[in-house]
Amino acid sequence: MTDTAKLDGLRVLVVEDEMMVSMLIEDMLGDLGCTVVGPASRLDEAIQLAKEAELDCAVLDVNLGGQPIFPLADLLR
Amino acid sequence: MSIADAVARETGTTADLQLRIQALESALAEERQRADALNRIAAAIAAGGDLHGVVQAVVDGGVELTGAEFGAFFYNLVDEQGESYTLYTLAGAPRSAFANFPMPRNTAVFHPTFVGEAVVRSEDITQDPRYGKNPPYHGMPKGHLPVRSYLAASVVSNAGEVLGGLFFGHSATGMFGQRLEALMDGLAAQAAVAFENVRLAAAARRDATAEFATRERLQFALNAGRLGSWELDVETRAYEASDLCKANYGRAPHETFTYEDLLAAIHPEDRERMRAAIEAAIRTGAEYDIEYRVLHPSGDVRWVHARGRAAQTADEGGVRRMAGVSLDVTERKRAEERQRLLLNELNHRVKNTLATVQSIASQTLRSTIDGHAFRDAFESRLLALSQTHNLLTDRSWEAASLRDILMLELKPHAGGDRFRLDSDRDVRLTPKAAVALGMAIHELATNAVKYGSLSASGGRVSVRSRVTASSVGRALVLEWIESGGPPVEKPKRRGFGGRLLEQGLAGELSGQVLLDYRPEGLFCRIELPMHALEPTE
Repeated sequence: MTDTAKLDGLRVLVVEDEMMVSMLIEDMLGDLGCTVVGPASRLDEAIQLAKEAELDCAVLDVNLGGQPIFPLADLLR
Repeated sequence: MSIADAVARETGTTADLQLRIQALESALAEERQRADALNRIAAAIAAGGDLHGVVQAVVDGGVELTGAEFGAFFYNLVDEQGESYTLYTLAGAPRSAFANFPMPRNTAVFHPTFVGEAVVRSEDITQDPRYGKNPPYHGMPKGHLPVRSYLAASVVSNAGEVLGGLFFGHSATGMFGQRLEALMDGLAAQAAVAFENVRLAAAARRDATAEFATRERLQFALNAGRLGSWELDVETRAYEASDLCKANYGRAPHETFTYEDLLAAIHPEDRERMRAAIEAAIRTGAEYDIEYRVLHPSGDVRWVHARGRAAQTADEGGVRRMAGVSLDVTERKRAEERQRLLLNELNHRVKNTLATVQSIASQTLRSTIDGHAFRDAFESRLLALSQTHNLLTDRSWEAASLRDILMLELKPHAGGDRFRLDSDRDVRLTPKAAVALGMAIHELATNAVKYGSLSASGGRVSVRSRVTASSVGRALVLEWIESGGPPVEKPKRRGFGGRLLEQGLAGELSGQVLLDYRPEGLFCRIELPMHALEPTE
């Protein structure tokens, strides 16, 4: 698949507070050849990862247990 | 020059003069008496009051003026038998004098009076050519008052309606002179005025009563519906609000509430919308129908539904006056908001559950060797999820008990003494925590049954649950201790259960999970902060 080739080797930050969804995304990204950073389930944890790790992109849950993800999105931009 | 001198000059003799003076004086006295009688009638009419009293004064005055023995007023009644007169009031005779007779009908004698023609005067009615022409009596019935001299006049309203007739009689002939005809006309006119006055007053009272009743009904309906009513003068912007309308804006009945006050009371975010709506209604004459938030002086924010329409059109076209109602719809708005939130929540949960199922399916597929194994594992996981949902549904999706979740998972596998729960207290779990812990415990139980202590006949599971103080506040420490099973080895590859516990559960509930594959039996320690578990009350 050509799309898979494009994503291969990307470092992707995953932030998701539902464990089953988080595990699903992790598996899917792994199948696409990505390296998952995280997954994080809390905002402070995610911000810490974003500051420390080398990232190509991120998959973010907009509502993290009632907390909006936008501060992190702003940081990544 | 005196009257006597003047008369003497003309006639010459004093005796003659005396006679003439006497005649003049008696005529004068008669005139005075007549004037007095007329004054009394006029005063009675002017005083108003009940119809009966006024008509009685007219009849009494009439008897006095005409020198009649008896007088009566009959009012005109049209019924299925045709026109007839009904006795209304009587003077100079007892009412019983008429008790045994039918009321006068439209006979030849009465006809002119019935139809409102001229005064009927007769020196002797029994000799009148119109008399005795009609059956059954052909004249006065036996026992009738002995009428010879007869005088009758119609009482006719301004509109020409014959209201009734005034009748005067005397047992002697020739008692009513011709000059009385003019007097009768005047009397009948006065009686008509009296009737009209009383009728007008009664009609006005009736109208007022009817209007009052209508207003009462309207007010009742408005109050029952908690509807305020308002009016707006488009030109001057004069605004009038009912007490209930003022209450919708948090004002007391005695407080002034102008159009400016109304605009100021509307929530700033809704004010322009309201202004545009009312201006459009004024411009086009269309219905004004809007809901907006209002700020009460107390600081409360309420929802008001206002409706209105043109109540009066201006001369040059367009709306001159608007009138309408207002209703506090805060409760309905809150119910709608609750419903909207519930729908969003439901939508969120359904999507979430579908994602969870998708995830379970995907991961079960990765970790099972064939379709048969997949089906068993997948079904059992779905069942566990569904059972946790049942527990939550029992408590309106507000909370579930940790003890219930543990019992639900372990009871079917470990009856009797094979399962022991040692718990210092039960913990109420949020739906999120309940679902996560439910799945985690399901994985532990399934593993114990398939590979762990419960796969051997003498094996046991002991669960120890404590709520303790920790560095991050109170925490639940749940220890899962297996014993009596086959020797345990750490798996070469982490399976779904291990991943769910160590990564998923720990991540989702901000805690720590330790899986220790001790040879004598699996040991799992789950430490979760209470703030991530308990619902906030």
